Amino acid sequence: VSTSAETLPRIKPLNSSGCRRWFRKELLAASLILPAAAVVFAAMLIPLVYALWMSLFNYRIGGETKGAFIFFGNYLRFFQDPEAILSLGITLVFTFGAVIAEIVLGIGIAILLRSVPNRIGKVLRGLYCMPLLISPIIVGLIWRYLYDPTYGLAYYLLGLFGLSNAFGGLQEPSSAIFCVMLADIWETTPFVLLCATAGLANIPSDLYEASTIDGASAGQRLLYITLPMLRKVIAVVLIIRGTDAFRVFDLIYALTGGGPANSTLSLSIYAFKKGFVENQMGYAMAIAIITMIILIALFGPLMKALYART
Amino acid sequence: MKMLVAAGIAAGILGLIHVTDARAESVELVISRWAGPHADDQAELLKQFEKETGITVKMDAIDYGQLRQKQTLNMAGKTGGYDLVWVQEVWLPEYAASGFLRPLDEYVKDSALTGKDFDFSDFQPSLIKIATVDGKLYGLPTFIQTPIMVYNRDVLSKAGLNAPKTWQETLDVAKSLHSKGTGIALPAKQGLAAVDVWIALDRSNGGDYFDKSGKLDLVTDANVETAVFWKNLVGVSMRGSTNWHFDDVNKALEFGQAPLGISISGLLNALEGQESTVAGKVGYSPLPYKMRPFGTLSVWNWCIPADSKHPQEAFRLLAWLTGKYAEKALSLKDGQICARQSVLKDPELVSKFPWLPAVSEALSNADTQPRTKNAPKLMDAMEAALSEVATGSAEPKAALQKVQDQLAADFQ
Repeated sequence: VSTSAETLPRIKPLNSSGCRRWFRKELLAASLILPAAAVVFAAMLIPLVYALWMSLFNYRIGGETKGAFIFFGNYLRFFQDPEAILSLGITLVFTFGAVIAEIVLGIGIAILLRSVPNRIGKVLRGLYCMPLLISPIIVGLIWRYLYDPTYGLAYYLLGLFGLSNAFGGLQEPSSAIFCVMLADIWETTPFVLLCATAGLANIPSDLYEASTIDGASAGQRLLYITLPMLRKVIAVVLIIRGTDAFRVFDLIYALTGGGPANSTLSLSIYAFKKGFVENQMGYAMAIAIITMIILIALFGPLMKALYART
Repeated sequence: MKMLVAAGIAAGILGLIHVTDARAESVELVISRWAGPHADDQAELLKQFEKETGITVKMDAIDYGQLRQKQTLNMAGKTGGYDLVWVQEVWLPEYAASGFLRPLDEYVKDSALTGKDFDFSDFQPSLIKIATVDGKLYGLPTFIQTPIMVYNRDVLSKAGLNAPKTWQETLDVAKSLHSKGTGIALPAKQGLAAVDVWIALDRSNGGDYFDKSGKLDLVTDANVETAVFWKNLVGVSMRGSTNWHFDDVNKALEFGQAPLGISISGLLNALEGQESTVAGKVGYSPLPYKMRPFGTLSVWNWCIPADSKHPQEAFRLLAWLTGKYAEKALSLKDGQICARQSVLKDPELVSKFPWLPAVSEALSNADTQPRTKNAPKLMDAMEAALSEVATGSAEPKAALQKVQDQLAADFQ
């Protein structure tokens, strides 16, 4: 295929003052973006590239320059390590269980609060949001005592119904992860409630009025108006809470430390143990990178779809 | 005129000396240790050091769980953020091998730095050996802990039970208490406390992690028998024990919920304190034994990071903190057990703290956890294995076999 000068679109050449103007304008834009770009580069990309590079080594803290280059050895090890696979499974169970419950409860409470008088709704919303103000490590300590069979409120209440012996709490591997999920739900449902409340405020009331005139039931209004109109809010909450829950550390650290019998060993706790307890920093870095890759695989498509629609 | 010049020079020299002194006095040392009542007492005592020397001391006391991580990150990054670090004996070989610590051999010989109160030969020789790596001294021992069995004398005598000593006696007493709704309070949470107790029980039974050649040898008759005993003991423990650490057990003992339990020497002072509901009613003994009493030793050492900006001043503080005066003062305050032989025999201390004889007995036959490079891997695996045994997730022999298979190659 030949291209001649005549077939190319004609571009109006800039004279020297136009050139200067264009250059000044671009320079101004670049200089305005530069600080933000530098922060992103320094605070996000450098540590990420460093972690990625160091995950290819077998090294200990303080021995960064003496580490052995093992290429993808740490990544292969992860998929052959039964404890790592167990921690991945536990993390997935925790993430899906906690996030689904939080979204259902958060949206449910937001819808219910909309139907109560405004003043009462505001007070209740404020009360429900209080757990959000507590740091996760403190939430862990609070729930650790709530779950304690000797002093805890949970066992006291169950005891009133003769059920205290039926509840394993944090002591038994079969129930510990659900106890951790409950503490997380208590802490973060208010976040979903706030997002859902903001989303509900944006739904035009005409839609509800019209549907009521048309004879739609409350269930139909929920299914065909509220939930579709909250689609974007749900997607955003899913991304924020999902990525957060998948990286859970402090709550589990305070409640169980990963036990009993590794039943609450999340990926972050596992990476921490490998890095800072066993001093296998290369492997810990690889676990952190694998966590990031799984998060991208799980939530990347959702984020892409959200951006596309926006 | 000459007089004036001489006076001027003298004034100049004096001024210089004053400036130099002012600089020495403006030194601020940052020390790293875990937070808690012991740290508060120590912080109070440090005011006296500040007054005596003019050196300011800032204590960075944080949760034990994050201490190693924070110290490691600081020293690996050569931030110079710490001048003195409190180091557990199991971390010390690794810190020394990583070049994080400054050898102290020359400092301890320098009487200008140690002061008069310092007597190096007074330290327990076995503890100095623990702080020595490849022939170099990297720390001075100061705070010793060992698990101790605690029992409520009143409850036991009302139930017609004697204070237990052996495995069987302990099981029988715990079983009897368990049938009445309590049991023995154990630090059986997945963590190092459970491993510390288990290895002491195991060594009292003639077991250990390694064979004579140093290879990992977990599935021996003695080790399996100890793991079975651990399972049986948890079976008659108070509810909650499988998620309890030493501090939870101590609370249950302090407020009278637990009539029998395994706590640690550093927390026992609370049992005789004003808030305790059992003060004066509690008895202490070494851990239950099969053949002979045995203790697990945990020693905290003061060390100087290699990147300290003020190593000489840091050593002055180190020598002061491990000196007889400061150790006795702290022991009198909270019953801490120090590494100085003369202080441990002090009659004033012995009369004040009733558990000291039990601790001395436990320490007379005690050892630390392994301190080799791969020891943290073994501890982590044993924590999970003992938690599996305690919760019935695995049989004792299978749990030990799993650790053996997993780590045999690391301990050849």
